[in-house]
Amino acid sequence: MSNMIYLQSSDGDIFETDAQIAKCSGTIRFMLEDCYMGEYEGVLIPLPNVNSAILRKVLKWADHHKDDPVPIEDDGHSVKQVSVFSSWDAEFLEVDQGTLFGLVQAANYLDIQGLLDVTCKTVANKISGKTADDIRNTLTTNQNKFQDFI
Amino acid sequence: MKLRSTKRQKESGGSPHVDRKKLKLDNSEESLKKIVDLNNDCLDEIFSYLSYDDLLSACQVCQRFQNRARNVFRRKCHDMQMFSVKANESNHLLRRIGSALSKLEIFFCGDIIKNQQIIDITTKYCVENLKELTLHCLTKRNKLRKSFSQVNKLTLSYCDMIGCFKLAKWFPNLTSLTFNYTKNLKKYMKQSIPSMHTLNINYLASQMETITILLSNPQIKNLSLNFDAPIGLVIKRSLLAAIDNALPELEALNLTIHRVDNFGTENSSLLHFNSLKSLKIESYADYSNTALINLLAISHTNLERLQLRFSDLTLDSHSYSCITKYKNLRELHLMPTVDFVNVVPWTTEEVRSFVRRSRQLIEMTYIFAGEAQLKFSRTLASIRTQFFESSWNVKSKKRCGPKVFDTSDGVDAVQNQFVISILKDATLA
Repeated sequence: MSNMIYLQSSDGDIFETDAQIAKCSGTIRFMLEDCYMGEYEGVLIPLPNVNSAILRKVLKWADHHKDDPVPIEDDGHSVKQVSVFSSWDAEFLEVDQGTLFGLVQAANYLDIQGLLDVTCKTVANKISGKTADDIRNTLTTNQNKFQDFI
Repeated sequence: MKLRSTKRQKESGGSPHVDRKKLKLDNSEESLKKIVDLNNDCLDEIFSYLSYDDLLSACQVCQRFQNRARNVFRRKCHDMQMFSVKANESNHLLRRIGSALSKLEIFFCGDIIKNQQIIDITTKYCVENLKELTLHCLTKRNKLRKSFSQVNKLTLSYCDMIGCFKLAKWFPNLTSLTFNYTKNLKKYMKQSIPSMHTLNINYLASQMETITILLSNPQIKNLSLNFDAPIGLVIKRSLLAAIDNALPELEALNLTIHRVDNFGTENSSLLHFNSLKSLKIESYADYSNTALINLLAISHTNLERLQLRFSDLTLDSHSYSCITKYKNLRELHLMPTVDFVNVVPWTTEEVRSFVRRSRQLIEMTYIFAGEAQLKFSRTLASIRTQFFESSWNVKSKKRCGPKVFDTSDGVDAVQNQFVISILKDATLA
């Protein structure tokens, strides 16, 4: 049985998606199960912190990973899940930096651990092996964004 | 594919053309987003994938990066592998940020030369502000070349044969010393550390060693002993007598007793503990420890604060009559264990009568472990009824418990606690 729900992005677009896919997000799962008490057929969830472009990407990722095994909760101890960095993910994350950071932020806000892992790893790879100057140049074109240089 | 963008507002809005245009617009807005726009959670997550060298570079990008990198570095320090495997990288990092550190935890590896390198770097770069130092697994004779003049809190975990360290020389301002599972202390224990007033020993190797260090340091005011006795070792009353004799100024005594067969039944002279103001006993044994209460209930005329954690069956009316002997008691904290979910230590009537008879008492607390929520709720309701419209206020809250050194994985574990406080109404007192 498919349970369709609607997600509304910050700029007003409405996305229809399967609740099972949306539930990879801890934030949405919590809303569906606790706020709507499991009866969420056709509900509309506003996501004011995620814009349409990012939400579209997130849903694409979630759809591709919908059959992934659920990570095992390890009572409080955050043992890093060894998430497989598939070639699909690598291709999926070949995006401009703005989108990449947007995905990091969305994964954090929506509480999607798998997406957070792969996006953060991708950003870390961009930083890895670089000097401080290189990092500044790589991660932004506008140096003023980094306040207070050392 | 189940996802499709729909525009409910406009009937015809879902055409691919409009969508693409919209997407393009979004992207141009989105590209304004910079890494510095991410919140700290995200930055920490990203930095947690970096090596020490990369963290070091990140430190130099901007102040916020430095703060985040330090935060991640602190967490990584808890991973023993990081230091033993990546000793060289930690050297660079200590050189860079060592002088800013106030707390440092070092995990040593099996390699003596690497260990010595870390010690040298630490003594060279980290002495200025370092207040708390924790050393894990120091096994061979490594030499300190410079004293840690600011360190006042030192913890030695799983260390062995550190007999060559004269603590008073290398840590001239040491006030608090903690041993966790430290071995071969015989020779080591004889030294006197005049500045030390707090001593914590977790998982005692032998009572003799403990007594030796106490005799050398009669100035100790706070003592914590954590017994994890191997099968057959009986915690003797003679140890308590020895503590009593060795430490005339002792003000706070904490005893944690795991799996102890019994507390000994020998007869000897009274225990005095004349200066003792605070006593805490935690027992995890699952049978009566009344003998222990008896022994400790003798002459504590100055005792102001008593904390007890016993299995529920132990806190019977006998213990109740023992506790009423403490005439100057101001605070009483009871921590029932969770084993007997339906039993409340003392009836609430007993609590009420006790509170009324103790003139100095200003606070009595029940502390429940996080898993005993049901028991907490029942006790709270019952106590509320007993103290309704009296000169005592009943309060309850949930809080984080103290850090417990967890021996199974060597990290500090924090548990939730539920607390019921019965407080004397200040306006009526």
